[in-house]
Amino acid sequence: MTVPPAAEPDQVVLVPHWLTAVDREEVERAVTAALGVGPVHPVAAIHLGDVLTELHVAAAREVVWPAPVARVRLATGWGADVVPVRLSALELASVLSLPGLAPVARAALTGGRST
Amino acid sequence: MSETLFGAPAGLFARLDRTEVRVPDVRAALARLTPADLDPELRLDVFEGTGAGPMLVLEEAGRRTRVLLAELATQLTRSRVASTPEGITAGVVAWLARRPVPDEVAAATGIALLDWSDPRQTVLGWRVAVTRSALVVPWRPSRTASLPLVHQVRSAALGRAAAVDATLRMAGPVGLCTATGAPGLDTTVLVRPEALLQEMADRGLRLRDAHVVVTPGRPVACAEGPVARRLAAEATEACATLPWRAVADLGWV
Repeated sequence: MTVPPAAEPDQVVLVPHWLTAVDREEVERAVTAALGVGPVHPVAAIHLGDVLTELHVAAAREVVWPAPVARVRLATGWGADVVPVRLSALELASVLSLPGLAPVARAALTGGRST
Repeated sequence: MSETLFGAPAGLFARLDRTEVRVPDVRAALARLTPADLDPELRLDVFEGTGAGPMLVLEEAGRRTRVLLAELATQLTRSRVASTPEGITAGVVAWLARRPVPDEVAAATGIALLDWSDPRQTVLGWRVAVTRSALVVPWRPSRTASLPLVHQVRSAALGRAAAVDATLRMAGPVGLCTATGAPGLDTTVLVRPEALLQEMADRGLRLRDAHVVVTPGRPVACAEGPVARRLAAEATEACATLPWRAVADLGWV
């Protein structure tokens, strides 16, 4: 697996990807499986670890500040389980590079609600 | 405590429809109040002939608050309360619910929690607040409150905050803490941040550099520094991320 160079932490832009509970479970499963089976490039492993963190952080944001996302759901008609998962370009690339990622989650990350 | 004064703002059409609340409307709304709308300790009187027009005087546990009906009507108009009898009554009830807290009541039931100390919502501080039905109302010492009394009220409020039941929920590397059954009082758990950290350690998350994300009136999040910063990075609501040891050094509002 090729890994792009690490960027300055303060220049990283996190882009929201609107994922359903099913999509998030699939991303979590694929990332956990990849990290468990290995071998993963150490830098990619860090990014994948950050993706796992982000999945939990996205759930935590829902508890602390539910109102802004609730407004988006109201305006778009998305289901109650759709939550923005904010990923940097590197994190997104490391998830998309996983061969085991189900097409549903891949589509949710690259198109659909995210575009 | 920083939400809009008279409930959620109305929709666009309601906002375009500018109607004015007048003094007779407010007076009629006050006359319509039932005992169920008022605390038993609260006394309401309208005095005429003050020179500046009729004045509403609230009296509760030794604290007196005066407001001109004209001023109250202006406030209701500015908050775009529907100028129907029901709308104005609801607006007056909401205004009464936020009336100043008497020192005696604060001393008897005040709870310490974190709130913004400036209108721009940048600096956190401890504040004594009381709950009125579902509302959390801040206490500001009355003009007659002595310094020892203020200290007494604050220390009693810290004691009550320490006794508030808290629920910890784990979301991976983030601990989320809420006050059990007391919405709006979640930041009271930071009176004893070490207890929160201990409970997180018991649940298997031992933090080396714990940071808390504080949003007054909302659940408290606790996580390792970078995770906490990621959590709060693009929050649209005002919140503060700080090391847990800094919480003890925050001043009083």
